[in-house]
Amino acid sequence: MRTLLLFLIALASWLVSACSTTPQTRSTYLLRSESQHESGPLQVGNEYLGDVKVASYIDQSGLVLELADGVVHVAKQHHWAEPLRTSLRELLSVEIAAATGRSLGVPAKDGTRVEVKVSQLHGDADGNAVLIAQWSLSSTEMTQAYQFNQNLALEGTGYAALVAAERALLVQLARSIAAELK
Amino acid sequence: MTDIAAPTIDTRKRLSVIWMIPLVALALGVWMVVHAKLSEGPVVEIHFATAESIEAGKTKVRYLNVEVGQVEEVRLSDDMKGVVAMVRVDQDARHLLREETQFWVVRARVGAGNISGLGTLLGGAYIELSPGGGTVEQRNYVGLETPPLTPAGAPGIKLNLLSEHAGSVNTGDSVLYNGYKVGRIEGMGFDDVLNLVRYDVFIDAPFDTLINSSVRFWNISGISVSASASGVEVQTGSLDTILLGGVAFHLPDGADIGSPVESGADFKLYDNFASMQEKPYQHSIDYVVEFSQSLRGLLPGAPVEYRGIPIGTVTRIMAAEVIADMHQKNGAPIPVLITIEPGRVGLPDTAESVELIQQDVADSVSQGFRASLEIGSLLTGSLYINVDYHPDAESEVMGEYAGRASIPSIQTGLGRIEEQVIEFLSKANELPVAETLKSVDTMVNSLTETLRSMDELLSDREMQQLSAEMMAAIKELRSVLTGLSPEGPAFQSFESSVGKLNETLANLDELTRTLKDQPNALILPTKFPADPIPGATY
Repeated sequence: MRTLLLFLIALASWLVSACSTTPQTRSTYLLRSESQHESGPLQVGNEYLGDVKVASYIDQSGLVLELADGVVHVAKQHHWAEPLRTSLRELLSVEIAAATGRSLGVPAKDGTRVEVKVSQLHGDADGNAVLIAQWSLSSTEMTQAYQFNQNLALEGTGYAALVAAERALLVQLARSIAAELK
Repeated sequence: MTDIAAPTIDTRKRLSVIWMIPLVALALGVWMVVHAKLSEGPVVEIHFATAESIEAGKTKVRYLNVEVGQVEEVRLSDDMKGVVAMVRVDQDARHLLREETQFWVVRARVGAGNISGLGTLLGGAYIELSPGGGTVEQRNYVGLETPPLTPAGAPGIKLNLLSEHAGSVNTGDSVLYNGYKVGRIEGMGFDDVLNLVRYDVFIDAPFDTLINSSVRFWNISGISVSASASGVEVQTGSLDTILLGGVAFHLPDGADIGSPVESGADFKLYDNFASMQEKPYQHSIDYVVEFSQSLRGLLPGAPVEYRGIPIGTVTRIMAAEVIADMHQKNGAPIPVLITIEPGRVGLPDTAESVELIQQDVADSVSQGFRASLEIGSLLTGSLYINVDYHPDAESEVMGEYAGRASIPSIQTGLGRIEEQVIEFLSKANELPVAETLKSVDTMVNSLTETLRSMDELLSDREMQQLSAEMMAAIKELRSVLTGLSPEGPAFQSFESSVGKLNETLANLDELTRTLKDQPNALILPTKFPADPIPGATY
């Protein structure tokens, strides 16, 4: 009986010591547009944003680093604040509207449908952010497809710099789309 | 003493001066008789049909309303078929008695076209003299029964119009050129040699220059209504020609001006404008087209066209030849004689053009050149002949019929439609109409029964209540669906829940991977290696 009591005390002590261990810090990053819009009515355009697809390896909460060719690391302590699909859709909508001067509309038969597929969005071993995406403009008359492939060196080190560089690349992508819509 | 000569006694008897008086009187008498005889005008004989309004010693002879003579005697002619009026014409008017001088009785006349001579009702009838243009004196004349419409010697030209029937053209009717009166019909009669009605026409100067050998005259009396392959055509002249009749002349379309004609030339009087326009060309070529289909509606004069361009006319349907050949070929095609005129298509109206057309047609038949019957007017059912190329037609060569070249025919348009209709009717006739109608009748009865049942069902009170409940249910369903729409709160709540579920699944996924890496992570502190730092050397 005494032996059992000692075991329980030792277990409790071990558990208490485990709880006293400091947990690893975890950072979350919000991918949002930094464009400044004035308050007031915004003209609604004939174009609308359709599907925004992301590659499976980045369709998760952790940020992704490419350590070597074909070797990726999903960060355990650095996460997106919301699913990347949601963030990308929101950011692209805002940036396209900012570039064209008119808000994206709702789906319509005679409208121009914008579809984006992000194949790669990560940081590489050379300290760059990489964005490779395909996008298309579809209407009742025609469909045109485009490719976006840009690297941008990080301004500093750390995941915050990576997020900033990826945001900058996504803004460039949005402006490319807006240029074709004008 | 003075001797006294013895008196000489003249015993000769001398005529007394007193006798001069009767001599002078005699001379005067002789002179007066001679003068009277010399100053007396000639007596002319004028033959009339009757002595109506003519009285001896009373009826005057006038020229331009000046008295130039008087009827001295009226007697029956030797053949007792007329009368002879002996007219004493004044000496100073004897120069009017020439050839072509005309006499007629002026009396009150009421005709269809005019009323004349009303002045004679009070002053009495008289004989009008119209001097002729000859130079030889004449003493025998045949008086006119009616006043001449044209004064003798009037400038112009006299023509003869020949017609197969009298129609509605009468003496006194107008002759028009482009609607303007340029002459008149002076008389009419029947030419028993030519077996035609002859009209005497006078064209006043200067319009006589319009007459040449190419002009054609046609009857413009009344209203001409004709139905042909070109449709219904109405032709009218002026109002007086509609009421009283008349004649017009013109060059046919496409005809050249002919040579001048002499007075008294004969012209054919066409029945109407359309017939006048036919065959204005001198050179033409005849072809025969044989048709196996009905020719009802195809009349002589119907146009022959090439893609809508008139190139000729149907001359006649050679029915007589068919009947003659009937004992040889039963059901043989019926030949139609057509005339193609090169001048109609703008070619020179020459024999060379005819040869050119002949050569072209002969060459074209091997390339599918065929003649076909087409409907000219749905209103009248008139047909015309169309010639055109049919590359798909069976190969054929030019034939010959009754000594004339024959153009092969093909059935298009009407004939093909007719065949299709017959084929359709044959198929329709084979349809089991009776059985179908019986089935339809059964189906209709069943449908009627169903409708009656539905009517009873719908009229049932419970059914009506059920309907109201269904309407309420539909309204509620619509309300529910509105809440489930993307704009509705339920949908938005659902979307939020799905988002949270995805997040939970993502966390669960991360937990799963953590446990895979470190199975005791649930109870032992987890210490992952630090993430590589972007932008730094790994």
